[in-house]
Amino acid sequence: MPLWDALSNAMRMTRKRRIGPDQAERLLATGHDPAHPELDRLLAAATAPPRPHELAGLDAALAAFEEAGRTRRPAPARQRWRVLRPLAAAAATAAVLVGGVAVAAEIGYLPGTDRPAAHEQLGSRAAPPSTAESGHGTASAPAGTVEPTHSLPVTPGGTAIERLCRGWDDRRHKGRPMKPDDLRELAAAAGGEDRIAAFCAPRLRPPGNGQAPPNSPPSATHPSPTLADDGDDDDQGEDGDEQAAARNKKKKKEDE
Amino acid sequence: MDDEELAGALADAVRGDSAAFASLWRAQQPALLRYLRVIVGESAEDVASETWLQTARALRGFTGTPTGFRVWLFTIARNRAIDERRKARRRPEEPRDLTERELPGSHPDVANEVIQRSETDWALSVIATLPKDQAEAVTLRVVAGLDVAQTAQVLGKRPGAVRIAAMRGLRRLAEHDEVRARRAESMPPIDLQSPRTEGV
Repeated sequence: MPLWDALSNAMRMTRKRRIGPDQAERLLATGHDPAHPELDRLLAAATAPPRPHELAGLDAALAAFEEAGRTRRPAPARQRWRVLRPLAAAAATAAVLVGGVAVAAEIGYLPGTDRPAAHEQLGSRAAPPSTAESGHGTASAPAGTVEPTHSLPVTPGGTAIERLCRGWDDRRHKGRPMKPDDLRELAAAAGGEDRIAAFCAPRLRPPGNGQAPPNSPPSATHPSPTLADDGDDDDQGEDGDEQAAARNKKKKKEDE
Repeated sequence: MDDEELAGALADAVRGDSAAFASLWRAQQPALLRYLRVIVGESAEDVASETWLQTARALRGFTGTPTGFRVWLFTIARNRAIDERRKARRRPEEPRDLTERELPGSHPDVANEVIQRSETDWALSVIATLPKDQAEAVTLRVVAGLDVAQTAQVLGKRPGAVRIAAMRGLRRLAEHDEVRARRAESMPPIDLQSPRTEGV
């Protein structure tokens, strides 16, 4: 087809001919399109093999990865709950069948169900910020005291349980049922729904403090900065990305 | 690294294997850095390391495919880049020079390397002259090797919009003075091997 060849040659010479959707797709996917050789060099250069300086910085990333592995250790506590949950549920059923435990729940105590104080101790590690702050306003960090930091590790099990207890207590006062999932989780942790009262009793008292109103807000146990603010300088953390993405989506109109 | 290798490395890294994380890093870092070079210029290295720090911290909780991982990684990078640009806007204007820091080191293959460096950096700097949405669409498609749907996910746009942005970007590049000038030099295309992962 000499005519066709001539025509396509002529087209090739025309500088102004535009890239269509198919050619664009070919260029983007393969970096090459016979009809548009002018972009070959550019796209090849953009996708050239990595150069040594482009592979610098692995050490820092690797260190962060390994550090993240170390600080994640508390996780097994959770897994233990998961394993124990069916057992706990079975125990709960048995307890209900036996009956009489409701009375114990009423009085808020079952002998032998007091958990070791580990949760309290771990939970109390979240407390220092408030006590430190309410103490002396000026002496911000006297020598010998430990400056509370945001990165203070809080055992997930500890705070989660406390939160559940508080939620449970709150609902009880209002006469409303708890969310089934939360209730299940709490019952599993307590060793049965009927043992929740006894289980939660020590957890509803802030450690070292007489008693707290049962409705005390759970926010005190969240010392970490959250992503509520839109502060420009703040690293929003991984969770912030969803929000950021949502914001971008809104911000971005289909342009041009 | 093909998708199967990537899947293996990803699964191992999620379980906490450092060597697997390193190979993920090696497979993705060059493309990540080039994408960031286009959108944040000389802050690319900083933003890339921020991106990896965040990725390293969150990776053990990642559930998804290799494709999902790359989309996730580039989304993190993009968000860190947006933060960086927001910060930069409040700093006094800094000159953007892509070549200044790229002086040849004591590499054995210096001559070859200088050519390649300047060529790649030239290409990235030309792409960076495009309107932002076009530059991003072209870079994610060509350099990161993402397809339309994946690019759309990273950019938070509809696939149709990504297609159009990328096509317009290519048209504009084809008209670019430097692209035409270099073409006039009619050098044969250099290395066609690409750092992008295959199978996309």
